[in-house]
Amino acid sequence: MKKNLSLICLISFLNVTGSSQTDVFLKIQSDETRKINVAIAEFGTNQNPELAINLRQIIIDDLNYSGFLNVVDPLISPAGDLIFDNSEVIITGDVTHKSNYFNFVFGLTESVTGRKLMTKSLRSYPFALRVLAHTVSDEIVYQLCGEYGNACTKIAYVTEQKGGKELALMDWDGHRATLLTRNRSINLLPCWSNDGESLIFTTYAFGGGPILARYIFKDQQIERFIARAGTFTSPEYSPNGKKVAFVLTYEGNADIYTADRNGQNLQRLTSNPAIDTAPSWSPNGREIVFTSDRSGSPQIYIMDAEGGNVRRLTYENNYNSSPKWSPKGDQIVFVSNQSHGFQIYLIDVTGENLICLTDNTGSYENPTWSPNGSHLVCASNRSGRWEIYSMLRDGSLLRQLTFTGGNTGPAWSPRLKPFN
Amino acid sequence: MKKLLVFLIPLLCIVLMFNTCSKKTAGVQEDKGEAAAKVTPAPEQPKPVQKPDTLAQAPAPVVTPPPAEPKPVIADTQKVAAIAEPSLKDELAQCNTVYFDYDRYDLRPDAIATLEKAAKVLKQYPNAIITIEGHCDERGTVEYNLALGERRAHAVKTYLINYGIKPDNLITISYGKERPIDPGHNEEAWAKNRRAVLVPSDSK
Repeated sequence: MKKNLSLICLISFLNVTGSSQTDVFLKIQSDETRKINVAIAEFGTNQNPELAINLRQIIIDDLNYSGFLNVVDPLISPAGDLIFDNSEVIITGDVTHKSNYFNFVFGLTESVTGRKLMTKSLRSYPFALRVLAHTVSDEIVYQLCGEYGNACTKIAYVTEQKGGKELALMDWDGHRATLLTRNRSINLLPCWSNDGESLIFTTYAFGGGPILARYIFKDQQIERFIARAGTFTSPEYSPNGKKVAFVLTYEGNADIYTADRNGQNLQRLTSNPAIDTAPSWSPNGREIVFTSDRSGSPQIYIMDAEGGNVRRLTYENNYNSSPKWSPKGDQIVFVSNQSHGFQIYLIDVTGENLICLTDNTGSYENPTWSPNGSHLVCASNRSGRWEIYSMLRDGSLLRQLTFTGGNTGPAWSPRLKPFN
Repeated sequence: MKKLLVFLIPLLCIVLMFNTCSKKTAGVQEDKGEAAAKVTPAPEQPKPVQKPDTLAQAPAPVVTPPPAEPKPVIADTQKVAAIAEPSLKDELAQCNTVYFDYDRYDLRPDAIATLEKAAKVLKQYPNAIITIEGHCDERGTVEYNLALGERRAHAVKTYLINYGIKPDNLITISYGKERPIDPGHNEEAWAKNRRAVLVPSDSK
C-alpha cells in the first residue's frame, strides 16, 4: 500500500485551464436515468502507441462503468471523417513521452458548439498507467456531472489462502490485487476508516476467539483495537471516524456497543437477550441500522446512535441481515434469504419500496456501498465459487472483480488521497 | 513410548501413595462437592495402557471408593499429565460433537445424550481446560453466524456447568461458518456443519 500511495503522489496537476463547468451538464446530472453520451478520440502520442491505446481503453471501461456516462463510437462520414453527432461531449488526449515519464494532456469539448469545457495536463510513469487512467476518469466524471466517480477507490476483501482467510486489496475494477495480511488465521469483515488510512476488522490472529484489530496502511501493521478480553465482531467506523460500532458477545448473547477511535470508552447500545449484530451507521452518524432476531427471526432494525428509539424496518421474509446504510442516507441495502439463497435488497429508511437487485443465481453476501452511493460491491457464489462482484445501485452492470475463488466480505474504500 | 510407560507406571504408583496421604483433605472435599453420587472417575493408572474403545465404557457402572486418586496426579507431575492428556482426548472423541437444527441453538435430545457422556468423562479430569467451538452451516450471514455459533457453544457450556463442570475450565469460541467440516452445499453437509465441538486444551 505504501507503494500505491506513492504512485498516486507522482501525478501532479501541472495546469488547469478553462475548468468552467457548464450549466448544461450539471442539469443533466439531476436526471438520474439519463447518461451523458461521450466520444473518446484516439489519443495522440509521440512514441508509444501501445501505452496510449491502453490508457484510452482503461478510461473507456471506467467511464462506461461510472453509471453517469456512456462512451459511444464516433460516426464515420461517407468521406471517412469522424462525426460526433451521437455524443454530447468529445474527449481528446495526447501522450508526450519525456525521459522516464510522460505527460498526458486531455480535454473536454462540447460537440454541438465546439466549445472547450476544460483542459488538464497530468504527469505519470508508465508503470503507474492504471492510476493515471483512473485519475483522468474520475476527473472527467467530476467535470461533467459535478460528482467524482469511483475509479480512484479501492476494495478491501477477504480471500482464502493456504492456512487461513486473509485481507486483500484491489482497485475498483479488480486489477492490482494484493494481500494485506499473512497471519494464516481467520480475518473477516474489513471496514474502512473515513480517511482511508486504516481498516478495522474481526480477527482470530491473536489466539482464542474473535477480536477486533486495525490494519494501518502506512505501517502495514496490525494492532489490536480493544485491549480487554472478550468476544468482539462486526466493527464499523462511524462516518466521522471518531467512533466504532461493534458486537460484544457475553455469556452467549451478542449486543451492539460503541467505542472511541482509540478503543476506549465502551458504551452499550442494546441489552436485548436476542442476537443483535451487524451495526451500520447512518451517514449523519445519528442512527444505526442492525440485525436482530428479537422477533424470532433475523430482521433489520434502526436505533438512535445512543441505543434508544428502536424500530423494526423489515417485515417480509424470515431471514434479513447484513444491512448497510447508503451514503446519501435514503436507503438500506441488505441480504434476504430466498429459496435460491440470499439475495440483495434495497429498502427506503421509511420501510417503503422494497426491491430485489439480484437475479436468484446463487447466493449473495455483504453488500456495501461505493463512497458516492452509485455502486454496490458484494460477494456471490453465482459462478459456483465465491467471488467479488460490483454493480450499479439499481442492480445493473454486474461486474465480476475476482476470479480465484474463496473471495468474500468486500468493503469499498472512501475516495483515496490525494483526491479528497 | 512403551518403555517410557513401563518406567513411569511404577513411578506413578509411588507418587500416588505419597500424594494421597499428604493432600487427601483438599482433594477429597472438592471432588465430593461436584461429583455427587453417580459419577465415578475411572482409575487413573491403567488408562494409558488400555485401548481407547474400552476406555469409553469404563466410567459408567462400578462405583469405586477413592475419588481423590486422579486429581493429585494431574496436578503434581508434568510427566504424568503428559500421559493422561491423550486419554482425555481419546475418551472425548466418542462424544465431543453435538449437532443443531438450522438457525437454532437449543440442545436436541441426541445432543443431550452426547453431552451427558462428555460430562461424565470431563468429571474425571477436573483440571482439564476445554474449548467449546460453536459452528454454523453456510446458509446465514457471516455476522449473524458468528453470534449464532457463540450461542451454540454457550448452550453446551451451560449444560456442562449444570452437570457440575467448573465454569472456569470451559472456554467458548464461535467460528461462525468459517470452518465447515464438510465443504458440501447440501442438507447432509449443512447438518454436519451446524455443530459444537469439545476440544481439550493442549496445556495444563
